[in-house]
Amino acid sequence: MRVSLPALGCAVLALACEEPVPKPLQPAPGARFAVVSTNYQGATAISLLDAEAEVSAHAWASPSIANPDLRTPLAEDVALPTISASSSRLTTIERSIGVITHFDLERGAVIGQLKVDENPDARASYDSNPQDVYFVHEGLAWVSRWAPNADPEAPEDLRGTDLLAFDPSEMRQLDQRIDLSGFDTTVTQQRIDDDGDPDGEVESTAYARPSRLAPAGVHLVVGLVRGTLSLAFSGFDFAEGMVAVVDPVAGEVTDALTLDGLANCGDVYPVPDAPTRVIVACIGDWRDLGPRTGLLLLEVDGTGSASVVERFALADHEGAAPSAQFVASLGGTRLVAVATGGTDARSREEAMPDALFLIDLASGEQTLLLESDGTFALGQPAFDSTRGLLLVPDAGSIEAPIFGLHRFRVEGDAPPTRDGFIEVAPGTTLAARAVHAL
Amino acid sequence: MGSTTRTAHPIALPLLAFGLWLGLAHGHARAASAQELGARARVTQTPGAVEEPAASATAVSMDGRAAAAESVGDVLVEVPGARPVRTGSLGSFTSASIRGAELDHTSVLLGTLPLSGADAAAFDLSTVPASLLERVVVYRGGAPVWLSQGSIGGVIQLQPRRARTRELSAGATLGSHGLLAGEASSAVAPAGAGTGPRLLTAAGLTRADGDFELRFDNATALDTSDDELVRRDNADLHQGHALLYGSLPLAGGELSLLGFGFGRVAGEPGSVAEPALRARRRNTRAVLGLAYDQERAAPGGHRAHRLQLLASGRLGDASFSDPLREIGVTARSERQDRTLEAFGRIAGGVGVTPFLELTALASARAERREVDEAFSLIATPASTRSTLAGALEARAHGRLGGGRYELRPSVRVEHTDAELAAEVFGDLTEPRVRDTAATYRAAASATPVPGLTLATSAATGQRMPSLLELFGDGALIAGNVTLGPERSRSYDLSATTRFEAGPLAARIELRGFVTEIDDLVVFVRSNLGQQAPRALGEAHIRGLEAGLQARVTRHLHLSAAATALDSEDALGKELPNRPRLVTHLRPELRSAALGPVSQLRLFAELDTLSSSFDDPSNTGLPKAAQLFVHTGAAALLHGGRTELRLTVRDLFDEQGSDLRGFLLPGRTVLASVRLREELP
Repeated sequence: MRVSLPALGCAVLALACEEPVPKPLQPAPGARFAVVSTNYQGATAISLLDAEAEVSAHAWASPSIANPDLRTPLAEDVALPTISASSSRLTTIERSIGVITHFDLERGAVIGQLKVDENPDARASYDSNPQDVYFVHEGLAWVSRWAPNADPEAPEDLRGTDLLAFDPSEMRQLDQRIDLSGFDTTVTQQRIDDDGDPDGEVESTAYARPSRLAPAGVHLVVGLVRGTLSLAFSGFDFAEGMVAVVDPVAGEVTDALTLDGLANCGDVYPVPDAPTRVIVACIGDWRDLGPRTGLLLLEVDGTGSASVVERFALADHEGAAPSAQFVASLGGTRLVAVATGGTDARSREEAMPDALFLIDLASGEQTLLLESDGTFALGQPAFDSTRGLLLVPDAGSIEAPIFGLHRFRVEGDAPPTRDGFIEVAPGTTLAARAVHAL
Repeated sequence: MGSTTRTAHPIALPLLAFGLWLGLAHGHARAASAQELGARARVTQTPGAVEEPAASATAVSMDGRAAAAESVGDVLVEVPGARPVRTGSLGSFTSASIRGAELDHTSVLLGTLPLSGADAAAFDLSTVPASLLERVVVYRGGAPVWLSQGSIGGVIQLQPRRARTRELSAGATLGSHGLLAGEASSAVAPAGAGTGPRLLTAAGLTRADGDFELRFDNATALDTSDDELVRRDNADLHQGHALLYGSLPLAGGELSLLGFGFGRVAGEPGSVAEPALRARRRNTRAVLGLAYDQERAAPGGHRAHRLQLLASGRLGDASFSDPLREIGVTARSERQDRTLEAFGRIAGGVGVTPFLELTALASARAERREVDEAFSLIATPASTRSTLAGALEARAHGRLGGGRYELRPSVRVEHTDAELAAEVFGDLTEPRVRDTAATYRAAASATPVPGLTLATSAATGQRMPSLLELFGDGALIAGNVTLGPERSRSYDLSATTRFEAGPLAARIELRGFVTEIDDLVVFVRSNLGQQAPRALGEAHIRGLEAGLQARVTRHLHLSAAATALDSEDALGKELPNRPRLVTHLRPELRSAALGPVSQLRLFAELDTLSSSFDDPSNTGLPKAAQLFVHTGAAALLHGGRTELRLTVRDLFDEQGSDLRGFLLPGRTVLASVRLREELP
């Protein structure tokens, strides 16, 4: 066998020249909704819809926008702010790495990025798990940092359980934070020995864990999860739920409200026709949804004090579905919310599919609107009150995945009516998990 | 998605220069005619030395290699179809993918002792120093029943060094990133071809900082303004190892004792994008096996019978400390994981006739695993798993016309009974898993003319999910209790040839294969920053692999391997981390004796990996193609009693990454010296 070794070397060289080329961002004026599609397996794409919820850009931003050495952009656990900065801006929150990215939709460009849990003086790494961003004005925004820092010697700006200020115009951290660790409390937890028997009790800290942010007048309502540390993500123990009210300009807490009998109250949502009111969703204990699950309508007055207007606690409504996840207010006391189904851990059989309910907090009436084919399938909906347009993500089932959103029309006090299914980025095989108005 | 184009690569010119150097070197070597060290200047891969000619197996001799401080992973690149997968510098987790299978689809044996636990999690090859090995044999697809574990990917057999001379030796290695290592060994063996007791002992210590330099983007991949050069922190390691391998002739056979111990204390640096500065790991393993082997040849030359009785025990103790929640998802971790395993097997083969041999074996394995997590409120009872396996194989062989043939059908039945316990979502879960599965293999080979062997095989494989996959490790790996067993079917067709013509001697292997896997489990990145096992459903992998081992002249030796893969899951997506083409080329020049220099060797290695996706949906850009150039020299002085080696790995500092987010160390200089003194 005679082989030209230089020729072989050149063939190998040709192979090595193969370089992936990033997909550039495109200008996307006129976008009104952003859809987060993900497989929870290292890939997330953001698609854009116009005012009528027609897709204007499938997978406008995805991991293919860059090919850096260290990690894939938009790879995992990407969330969007509850309230967008403006219709020409898209903000992504990469929770697991603590990075906020600000995109200019009209130019199709990245404005900047900010890592919100980094300080070169720290002796240990810290993952803040940022949850939400609220834009006060062009030069001020707040990010809620869910995780406490386990290092007692951490610098102050890395302590977590707080709102951290940053300048969104320059994506620069500001020297201002609202410490919410004062709302930490304790819960009693049971120790179990290796025979499965009780082995005494311990007092554990239930950290405040700020999550979603929703404006109420000139104030900002912060949902506080108040959960313990846990080796298993779903194994938290929760203290009674709470919300804090802050003055986002002054950077001060004005009030805090304990939500008796409810737990895991991190999600707060604006009410379209009532700017001083918010919905609070209390999911309850992950391992036992129901007893401490509920929904509240809160009013925040001009001094920043919060009060309960309506309360829908599952414990008060026998037979009601635990529908307190992925909420969208339809205005007044009406909202839609998802009751997440269940899956048998061993057989993988989907014992109960997800369902979307219309709930009137005043009457306590719960009406089934939609049943998915799968569990953990329905996602965060969005409601545009000016057009009466309700959009609900649905991933279908494991056996028959679908990729997109259900469109509902909402007119007056009538129940929403389904108006078709919008396919979003089906070629990516990433399921739509959340839709947000821009 | 994933469109690619070809642009000039920064190392194009150096590579072109290298190509020219190859040509010049080739010419120079043909002109050289001096003597060489006969025992070491040979084709290192010996097809006849593997368990079965019909198997897709390649053996790599570890004797007299030119590179300094080689690892098992470094060696595996020479095996077509095998790809080492690394997560960083020396001491980082290293495993191997065979024919595109997952890392835990490969069983690892030390001799015939199973190193992979009954738990079937991926084995960390970095915990076995290559200096302790005599050779590495890789069986792709199904393995002969003597070694088979019913694996989906294949078997890596690490054969420990055996005492063949009477000698003392000591060596030291110095390298980049704070590497300092020393090792000493002794060997006692009967002189010449005599029989008698043999004993090899070896022990070594290694320390390294692992603080290679990298460009850190502060996790803001789209904003380069805050990028900086940093050194990898908390990647240090201190480790030690010891091997004892003794044998004694007994009752017409051989009684052997094999002991291997390994300990490592190391930082756990986390992924590069999310580094950890305080997390630590400690790993201790001890394996002890006692075996009796007997083999007799019949008057006709064929094997009359063989017998092996084997008993072994394995102790493992691994701890992970993450006191400041740098890696853990939501909580701190102080975790200790203790494993105790007992294994025994009896295997025998009888040549019923000159053309038919029957082999049967039975094995039993019991494993107990205890996990203590200081921060958990739930004490976890021990998990136990017991496995009984039995196998039968028939081997029909003989001559047909002018050639030879061999047929090997076999069946292996394995019964697993596991009582598992773990904390899942804050509750204690104690599932009991019982499974009985049969795996089959049929292989045939024919040698129509001397030097050319044609072979084909079909095999099934199966693997139960490991404890790691089911319950995670509380930190980097998330559990998934919904996983079921994976089952595979694999087929291959191969041609291998060996020939010699004048100074030219070569072995060429060319194989094609198809592997179909039901309920394939792959590790993907979860939305909580962990690696999580996910069932992708049905997947298939097709491929071609080619290998060349050649002595072109007495002074130029060539090794090459190439693997082409085409993989697809049930949704038509490419399986993650499967480069479509992996190549390896290694020319080596060997000089004649010159004064005190018995031999001088110069070598270069070119390793290429084409691009591959990191995520199962193929949504992100594929990882860029990578090309690594390694080079080095070795000098054998004083008749081989002194060995000096200098190696530069990743000469052009390509660095690159392997598993997602885990950067490789880049340019690394290694220098070693080894002294040997034969005993009277």
